[in-house]
Amino acid sequence: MLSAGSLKVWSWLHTWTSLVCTVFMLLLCLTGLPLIFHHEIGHLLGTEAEPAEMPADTPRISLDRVVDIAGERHPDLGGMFLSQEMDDDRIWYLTMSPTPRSHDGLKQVAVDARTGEILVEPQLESGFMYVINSLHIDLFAGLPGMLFLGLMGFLLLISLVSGAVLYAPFMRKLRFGEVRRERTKRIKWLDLHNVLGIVTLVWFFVVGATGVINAWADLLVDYWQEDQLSEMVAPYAGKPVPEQIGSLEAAVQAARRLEPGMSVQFVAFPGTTFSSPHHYGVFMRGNEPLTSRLSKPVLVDATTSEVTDSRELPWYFKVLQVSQPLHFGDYGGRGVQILWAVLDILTIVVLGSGLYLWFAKRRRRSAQSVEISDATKLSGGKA
Amino acid sequence: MIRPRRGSALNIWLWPVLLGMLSAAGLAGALIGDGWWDIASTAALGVVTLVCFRFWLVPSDATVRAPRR
Repeated sequence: MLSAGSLKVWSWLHTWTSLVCTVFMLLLCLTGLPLIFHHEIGHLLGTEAEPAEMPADTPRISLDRVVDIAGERHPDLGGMFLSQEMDDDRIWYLTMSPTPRSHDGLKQVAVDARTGEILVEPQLESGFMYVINSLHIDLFAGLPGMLFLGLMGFLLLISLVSGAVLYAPFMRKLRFGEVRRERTKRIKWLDLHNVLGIVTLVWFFVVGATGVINAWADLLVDYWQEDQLSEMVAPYAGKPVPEQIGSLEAAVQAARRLEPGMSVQFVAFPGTTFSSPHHYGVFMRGNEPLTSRLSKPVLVDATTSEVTDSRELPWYFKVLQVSQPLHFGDYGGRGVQILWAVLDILTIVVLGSGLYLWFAKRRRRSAQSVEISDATKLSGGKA
Repeated sequence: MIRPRRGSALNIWLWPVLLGMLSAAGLAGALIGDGWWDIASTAALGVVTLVCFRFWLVPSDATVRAPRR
């Protein structure tokens, strides 16, 4: 049982960590809701590629053709990344940029992998989902915004732990799930806050903790580049940058020969942060539910199309990649996806009721102090 | 059936711990496999959600019978 002193500390911790992060958590829960359904919303808005139905074994066109087709659309831009969704190998998404390391002026073209038709040109820096996504990830503030939301997420985790500690003293006289509806509105919402909070605790904690990990994504990628990628490309240090880069198709085929049991997740063109000026960085992923989340980089010499290095990602990168499905809820089919949204709404109720309880307690306290001062006035004492 | 004493740690924590374990199993299951794993995960997380709505929307007998203090 908690002593009166430690109860006070936990209660202070719960109140203040919650108060600081609640507004941001409400924002994250609200913006997270459409993000759970971003594919469905994309279909509704017409921003999602809709490839024609064709037999599954329809031959695919060469990736060099894909690059040419997108290049005709944006002649002033060069290839940056080529990627494919996990469950749809009919579409290639080619991200193009003024230079391989540009941050602005990026364009994306979705090309049908079988016909070469340009299906859609996803807007990377405008539109409804862009706004929602930016609010959710970085508040339009880049890395500082991401880290700030990560810090708010960390406060949420403290608030969840302290909330769980406080659950027991509140429940000493109550049955599990008992909600005292016949008493005041405040007591009813206190009981609901406690029961909804404790039942959703594990889910909320996992989504919160994986969100905090994702806030570090950019820094982890930077660290991996320093830690591993630089080592992998070290033999090319000092060599002159090739003037003409070789075939993308040949590079991807070389990576596929090395890892026949894997699929292409994305390819980084030479000169980007995921490759070197001499290499294509081909990132492969597994085809099993868990391995499909983990990528394996294969570096291919852009001139000779020979694989020069390939190694497993380090543990911190794996942690980041496994944390993503647990944050997005996109890994268990339609059922899990819908429950993710319902649990998200339940946590909005927990957050909202927590905020309400804080206001109600303050109002009650100030009402009591007014009563006390009125009473002292009436009895002739000094207020 | 043994009825744990009201207010005991067992009484307070039994259901929260069971539902927490069910949530954890539901979260992990769909990560391990597809097909039946997804269905099992949906069922586990579905139970957790239903418990929430049960207590939120349906007044329990306990509250009707509970003596006013």
